[in-house]
Parts: sequence; C-alpha cells; structure tokens
Amino acid sequence: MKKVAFFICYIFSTLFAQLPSKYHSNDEVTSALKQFAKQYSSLISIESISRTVKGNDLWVVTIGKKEPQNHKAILVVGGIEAASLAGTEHALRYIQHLASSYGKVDSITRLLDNTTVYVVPRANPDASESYFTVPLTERESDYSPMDDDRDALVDEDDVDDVNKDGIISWMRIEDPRGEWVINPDDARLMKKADPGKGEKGKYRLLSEGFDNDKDEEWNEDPAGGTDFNRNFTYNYQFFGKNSGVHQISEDATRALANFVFDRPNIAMLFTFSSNDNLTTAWKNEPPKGESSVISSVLKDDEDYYSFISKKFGEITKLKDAPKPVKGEGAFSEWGYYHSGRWSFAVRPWWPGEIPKVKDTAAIKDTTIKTGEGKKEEKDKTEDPQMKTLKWYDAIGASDVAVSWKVFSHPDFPGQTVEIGGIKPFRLTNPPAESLNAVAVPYVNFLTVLPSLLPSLSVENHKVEKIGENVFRVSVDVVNNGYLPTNSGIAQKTRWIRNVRVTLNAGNKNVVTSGKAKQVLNPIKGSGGFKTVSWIIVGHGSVTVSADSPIAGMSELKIDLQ
Amino acid sequence: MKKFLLSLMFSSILFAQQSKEFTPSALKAMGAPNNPKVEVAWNRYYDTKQLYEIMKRIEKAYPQLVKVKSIGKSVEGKEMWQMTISNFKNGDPNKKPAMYIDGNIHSNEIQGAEVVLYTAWYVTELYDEVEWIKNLLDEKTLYVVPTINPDARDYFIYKANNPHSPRSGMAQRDDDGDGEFDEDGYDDLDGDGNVVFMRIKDPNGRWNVDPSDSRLMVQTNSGEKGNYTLLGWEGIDNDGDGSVNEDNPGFYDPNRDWAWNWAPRYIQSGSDRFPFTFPENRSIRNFFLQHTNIAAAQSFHNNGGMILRGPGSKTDEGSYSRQDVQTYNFLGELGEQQLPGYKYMIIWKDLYTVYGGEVEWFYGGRGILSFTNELWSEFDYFRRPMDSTRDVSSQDLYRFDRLLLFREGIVPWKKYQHPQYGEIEIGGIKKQWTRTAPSFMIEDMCHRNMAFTLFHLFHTPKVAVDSIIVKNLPGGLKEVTAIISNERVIPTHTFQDVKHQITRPDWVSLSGGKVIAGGILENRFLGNMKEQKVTPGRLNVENIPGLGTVAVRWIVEGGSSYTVKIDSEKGGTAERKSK
Repeated sequence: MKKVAFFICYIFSTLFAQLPSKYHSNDEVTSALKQFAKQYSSLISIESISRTVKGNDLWVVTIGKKEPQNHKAILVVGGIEAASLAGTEHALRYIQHLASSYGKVDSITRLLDNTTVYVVPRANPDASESYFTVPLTERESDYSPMDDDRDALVDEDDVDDVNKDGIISWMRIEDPRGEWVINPDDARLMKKADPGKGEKGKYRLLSEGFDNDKDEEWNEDPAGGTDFNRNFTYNYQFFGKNSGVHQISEDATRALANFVFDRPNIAMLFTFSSNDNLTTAWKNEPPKGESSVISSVLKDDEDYYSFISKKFGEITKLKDAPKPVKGEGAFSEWGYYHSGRWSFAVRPWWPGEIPKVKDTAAIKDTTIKTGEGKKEEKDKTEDPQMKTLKWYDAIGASDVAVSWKVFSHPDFPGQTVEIGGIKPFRLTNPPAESLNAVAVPYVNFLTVLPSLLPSLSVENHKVEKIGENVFRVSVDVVNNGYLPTNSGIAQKTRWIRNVRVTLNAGNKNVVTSGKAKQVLNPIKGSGGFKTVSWIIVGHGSVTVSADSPIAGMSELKIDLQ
Repeated sequence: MKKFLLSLMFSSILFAQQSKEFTPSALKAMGAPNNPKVEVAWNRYYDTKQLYEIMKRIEKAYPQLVKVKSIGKSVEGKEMWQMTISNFKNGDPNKKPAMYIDGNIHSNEIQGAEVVLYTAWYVTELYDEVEWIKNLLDEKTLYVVPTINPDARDYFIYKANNPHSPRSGMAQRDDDGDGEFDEDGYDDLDGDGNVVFMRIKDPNGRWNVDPSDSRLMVQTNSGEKGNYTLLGWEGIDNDGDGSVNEDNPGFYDPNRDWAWNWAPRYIQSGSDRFPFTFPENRSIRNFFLQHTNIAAAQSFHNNGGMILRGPGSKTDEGSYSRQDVQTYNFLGELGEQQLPGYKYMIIWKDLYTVYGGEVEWFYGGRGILSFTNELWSEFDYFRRPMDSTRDVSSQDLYRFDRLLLFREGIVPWKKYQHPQYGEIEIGGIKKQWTRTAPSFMIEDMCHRNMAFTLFHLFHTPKVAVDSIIVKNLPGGLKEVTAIISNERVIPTHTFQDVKHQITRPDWVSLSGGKVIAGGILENRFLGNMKEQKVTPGRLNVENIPGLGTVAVRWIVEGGSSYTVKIDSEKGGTAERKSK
C-alpha cells in the first residue's frame, strides 16, 4: 500500500480581502458570483438550476477546467438550513480561494485539473433573505403556500412586528396558566417550568405577532412553507412540521436532487448544516428489527468516515462542537443513504472557547439576580443557548437580545405583555466582522477533501506469448487515490457505476478469453488493484482503458509481442 | 311541445337510418346501449391515438357530460388525456364528490385503459336510459385517465415485446451499470412481430417437449436428461458484453414512484430517484392536490383477478385504522360478488410487499380509499372453482389455445440461425394474451370492473341536512339544532385524513339570525354541546361517518326561519330551511 500524501497549503484570512466581512444578501451573492465568473472565466461558470417562489435564482457554481461533467467532482452546499448564513459566506470564500490560487498554488492547480468543484452557496435563498429584510425574521422555510392549520386559509397568520422595532422577537404574557418562567441563569432567556423541581409557570411565550385571523392562535399559519432540510427522502417525516406535502415536493429541492442524480461524476457532498458527521464521525450500528432500511453508515464505509473526521479535526482544529442533529429529511443524510455519495456535514460556526470574561454586567439584564452564584459550576452542562450568550458577552457584543419591555397588546387586554428576548439569527451566526477568520479552517479542509477521491491508473501490463500469434495479456487496474472506486452505499443505491474496463483489440484480432467490456467491483484506494487478463489471437497492438465517473480514466496501449 | 319532440325523435331516427347501411337493433340487450351514439368495439385493444379519438368522440356526442383535457406530458412528450364526466348542468363538477380512475401504469398491462374508457362510454351512453346512472352523474364526478403510461403503451403495441415487457416507462436507464443506456433489449429476430422464446437442442439440457402439446416445453424431472436448453426471450447480444437482453428500455417501475412509504432501490427494486421522478406520475400528483373533492380512487393493472387494497408493506399496517378497513371490506366484498374469480386481498399480505405504490399514496398520503384491480382472472379460462387466483398451469394455457383460439395464440417452434448461439428454434406464447383477456372476453371484463368502480363512486359521501329543530329560549333567544347526515358508506374524511388533517373539516353554517354561540353535540339525544368559540356561525365538523349523523346546535338571536348549510370537500353541499 502506498502512503497517501496530503498537500495542504494553509491560508490566512487576509486572502479573502476581496470579499467584505459581512453577510451577503441574495443580490450581493448573485453579483459576487457573476463577478467570479467574469474574472475567472476560464475556470468558473454559473448556472441557475431553479427559480424560487419569490423569483430568486438557485445558483450553482462550477469550478473546473474544460468538460467539468467528465471529471470526478464534489458538491459543496451552503444555506440548506436557511437561518444559518455563514455556510454561504464560507462557500463564497472557498470559490474565491480556489479561483485565485489556480495556477499559483500547485496543490490547487493539480486538484482543479482533474476534479470539478460544484458549489451551491445558498440553497434556500427565499428563506435566507429574511436576514436582509425588515422586520428581521428567522425563517427556515420557503414561501410555497401552505395551510398549516387546515382552516382553508393559506398563510393568513404570520408573525408581526408588534412593537415596530424592526425585529420579530418574542412575547411573554403574564399568565398563571402559562408554562414558562424567566431563566434564573440569564434573564434574557425563558425556560419551561420544571414541575419536578416545584417550579410553576408564570408566562405564556409566543413569537411576536397578532392573532391576524382571530382564531385565538398566534402566528399559527405563517407565510410558507417547506424547510428544504426536512424535504429529502431519507428519514423523511410525512405530515411533519414544514416537511412539505411529500418528499422532494419543492421545485428547488427537486432541482438540487436532480443536479446530483444527473451527474454521476459527483462522488462527494459537503453540506454546511447541523447534521454534523465531521466533528463526530458516523458509526455503524446493528440493524434494528426486521427493517431493511439502512439507518447507519455501512461497515464498508465506516473507516473512511472516521479517517476523514480525524482529518477534519487536524486541519481545522475546531473543538467543542454542539451535538450533531439527526436529520429528518435532511439533505446531507440523503446524500449518503439515498443518492449514494460520500456525504459530509458540519455547522459553519459555533461559539468556540469562551474568551476570558471581562465586564459583562453592562450588557446583562439586571432585573433578576438569582442563580448568579451557581454559574461557574453549571458551565459544563448548560444548554447551547446559554453557552452562546456567554460567548457573545465575553466578546463584548451588545446586540444579541432585545430587552424585555412592556407593550400594550390589543389581543391581550388587561394582561401584562412584554416583548423581547434573543434576536433572530444570533444563536447560529457569528458576528459579521469575524466571517473572514471563521471561514479559514473550513476552506482549508475543503481544499483537501476532494483530493481524497479515487484515481484510476492502468499499469503493470504483461504480455505472454503462449502460442503462435496467441497472447495472454494482463494489466492491473490500480486506484492511487485514498477513497475506494466505489463506496458500500454506492453499490447498494446503484447511482454511480463501477469501474469499466474496455479492451479494444482491433478488428482483425480475436479475443478467445475475457470480455471486451467488463465492470469491476470496487477497488480499494492507496494502491489497491485488480488484475484483468485476456487471451488474444492476432498481432499488432491492443488498447486497454479503465474509466469511472468518480475515479477518472486511464488508457494503455499494449504491443502483442 | 310533446308532438314536436316526437317528430324530432322520429326525424333523427330517420336520419340515423339514412346514414347507416344496416337496420338498428330493435331488442336491447341489457347492460349496454342498443344503438349508441358513439360506436366502439369492446373486443380489441387500442393504441394511444385511438384511445384519444374515442375520448373525443364521446366528448363530442355528450358535451354536457364530458370534457377531455390534458393533465400533463409523458417522458416522450405525449399528452396525458383526462376526462371529466359529470352532469355539468347540475353544479360544478370539481365541487362534487368524485372518483379518480386510471389504467395502464404498467405499460404491458394494457387492458386497464379499455376498462376505464368503457366506463366513460357506458355512463354517457346510458345516462338518459338508466336512472341509477343519471343520478350518479348528477351528484358525482368521474375523473378518468385511460392510460397513464402512454409512451410505453405504444411501445408495447408496436415494438418487440413479450407479455411482461416493458412494464416500465420510456425514460432511459442503465440497467446493467456499464455506462450505456437501453443498449441491449429484445429483438424480433425473425421479424414476425412477436418476441417469444429461444431454445437450442442440447443433449445435456433440462427441458423436454410436453407430451400434451408439442409446442410446450416442460422441465425434466430430477435425474432425467432433457433434449433442450431454453435461452430466454428472443434477442441477441447487441452490445458485445457477453449478455443477451440485459438492458431493455426503461427498467424502473412507475408504480414504485409514489410518496407514501417510498423506499430506495436497495429496499424496493424498480424505485427510482425519489417520489414522482416521472412526469406522468407528477401530473397525477398535481391533479390530486388540485382536486380535493376526490373521495375514491381506482387503478387498473393485470393480472390475476384481484381487488387489492393497501397497505403495501407490513410496516404500514398501523396506518389502516379499524374504521377505514371496515369501509374497505364493505367495498371489497361487494366487488367479489360483481367479479367472479376475483379475490379481495391486501397487497403486502396476500400478494407481495410494495413500497411507494400509487394507491398507497392515494390512501396514506391523501386519505382517499383506493383499490388496485388485477384484471383478467385465470378463473376465466375454464371457469372452474380454484383455491387461488393463480393456479392455471401451462398445460391449461396451451389447451385454451387449442380449444378456443384454434392455435392462434402461440407461435410454433421454427428454426433460426442466431449470430451468437448458432442454430436455435424460436417459439412460444404471443404477447397479446395470457395477461390480457382474449377478444371475446374483453367486454365482460370491462363491464364487471366498471360496475365495481361505479358502486365505489356511489358510496362516496353524500351530505344532507336531515332536520332542523328550533326551540325558544328565555330572553327571546332561539336554540337551533340540526342533524346533518351522510347517506353513503364512505365517511367525509377517512380516519387517515382526520388523523393527519389532510383536507379541511366540513363546514356547517347557519344563516337567518345572529349566532351567539354554536357547537357540536357530543350526544344528539342527551344534547351536551361542545362549543366552538371561533367562527360559531360556521362550525368545523371533523368528519361525518359513513351512514352516520352529526348533530350541531346554535344559540341564535333574532330571525324566525333559519337556513343550515353544509359544505364538505368530499361530500358535496346541501342545505335546508327551518319551518
């Protein structure tokens, strides 16, 4: 076995100077992509594969030299969880890094000479755009009309900016029948009363809005829609919340899925999402019951996931990730289990180590003091929201929450209503000014990941003369890449074919043993090989070629002598 | 006026007589129009163009009952022709309780299209003659799509096929994983229009000629040598890979392409990318989402004489509640009476497991009771009682061919020089029968299956306001109690629909006074009212059970006569005025 060498050229955030350290709206994403396509026209092309309900383009960027469909490929997807915006930003920086390094950095030139990189920077542009519109609303779903509450009215009770502060936050209504209390550890947060600890609810908690249709429900039928990361076939929840009317029901999700199925050269997906399998690698688990559903990574593939997860840690040095979310109709899991690709996912950001605490009192709501003393010991077990807030406090960010303020709400006459709480997007997105720095480890990893794909070579040919004009010809079909020529899941799903070996013996020669065309079972990487042989009656030369959409093509001319 | 009509009738008969070169029948045989406006021979099979011509002729003859339109296009760009059949003068057909019927999803299972088209023809021709049919089309709507796989229907008819191919649609797939698409299908080697079997003389073979019919091959007993080896269906190795017929057109199964309980290939062979991969199925999906008045559905396949209901897999048993199974049983058992030789069966239990089937989505995904009939029962060959719908032997088939088809149905063995196998013989059963009915039995098959679907349509819900009782309350207020009912067996919402809130509740509204409060009576005799605070003037009723009632009550201010109206997506509308 040959040892695989990794050529890594680490980069620094200063390389992204071309992209401002800010979140890009749809228009800004579009013009950045158009700019890339113009500036690097021999390397980059862009294509819209779908139009969303709101008329936005679903962009795919293709990075590669000539005939990109004929090269093995990776697809990188950002924004499938629409309220998580940093993935889109990383994707833009990744494109820029590859384009500006091509021809300058050897490893990247080599990569792009035989590998295609497809990037969907923003998978759900309609929903992500809510970050750039007023009022600021966190959305995961698109705008396909949906009657959430089955009253034959569609999208009639969305959230509303009740207090006209430009932000959709939260309403807490003092109500002894409510289930919520103010979080004793952080007054900006609410928590459910725990009857086991003798706690009794004091508030109802609702998202900010009016009861627009007067049905005594608030915001129960918001605009749209379908959450794209709940709309794919694997572990799909029929009749689930925002999961769509059925699997892959939306034009955009359909376009994404078809983009992958139409390109058997796509060997690998990388998704920015919480369905993380990079900080914690997938493990094979024994099947449950009689079910024939594959519900954990196959034994054949498990070690590769472990290795790549380890690589991710080494390259990015990212630690303390929140627990991976098990998807329900998630894109990245579909990528492995149903489209049969290697599929990796990781959150584009989470608060890392908390900086040394400075003076955070100033940005704290000081109305509640209880629990202050217990803080230190709770740090390790506290929930991710608390941790994120603490991180923000430590960096001195002051715009994380809206202070709770009493508001005279017409739907609740005679009751005390306060509006406030965590601002939309803050918990899952880093401060804009840190984007260039946050992108660096991800971009580094993404320049290595596609270099792990299999790579075919026809080598080591032997010609034995076993009679007058009779030759036994054999070759080794070798995989010099890291990954095998097909994964276990690809063998099951059968969307990516195996390596095909073709013998062109010419018109006059006769092949008496062996097939002119044959398909080989997966060949392991790092120098794994399979020997193929024929008996040929004739003279002159023959040509042997081996090809696979995900492992490239190799050809050898062999003289019969 | 009467005189005028009579003379009009007389002159039209005269006209008909003039235009025909024969005398119309005077004695009507029961069960069919005697001198139909649209003459169709129900003893043959039609290609998609001919199906369309018949649809248009029916539409032209009965414009007040039929509308033909395309609901989408096939993979190869053919139109998917759909007929809406109802009395258009009696309400919007899209607001009446409706049934959807299709055929031919498996392209070689062609007779579904004839059954569906026969239904359209029969109900329009008999509308004026049979009161039961007239009432049905006055109250209800039929949506029918004779073939939902038009590309491959024509491929089956016109190209080299056997009774089992292509089954698929015509989207290209790489069956054998060699990077080429549909490169090695069947070949009609001798150009006789049939794809039959190939055999080769072989002293070490495992097959012999059957003593009862020299055209039939039988496997040898163990320990006994045969004279022949069977080489499979007629074809050659078109792509030089050492295999014959290994990559036929299609490959996928369009009936594994539906969203409910969909599974990928490694669980369900024949499934493809995701639910509704294929445009034909996607068009039907759209049609269902747009027509929430569909309360019943039927799909026609062949063969075996089965009335199948879901679930398609054991894992989905939980979706079929007791209430819905009772309704299924009622209809299925009715069907067994109408269809001798057919058995009412559960797909996974009595046939095989299917993930992502069409009728499973109708029920599981949309809450609509639906059946698949496997047309043409093997019972029909000799009409003798059988234990199973599938115990007709090869000898029986060959006997049927000798005794009733006079040897037309089987190609006798003949020599052929095969480019790869050398001297072989070609012969066997033609594609036009064994799975499809022979000519003289087609009309019987069409009529009986139609009768089953018409009863299914008949039993879609029919709502009514049975009674209104007005009582005076102290202070001048009125208590208005109404009994609303469903006169048919199918509920306005199946249990699956209620459970997953698929379609909106039925609306029961009161006009004629100011509604102060309203609600549903939990017990119509004891009268406990469960109040609906929001929109009390238009109450939400989750379901009106089959042959059941729901009692509603309002407290009303003012007015003296009240109108109660019910508006049900699947049960239609009705109203009544209080006395």
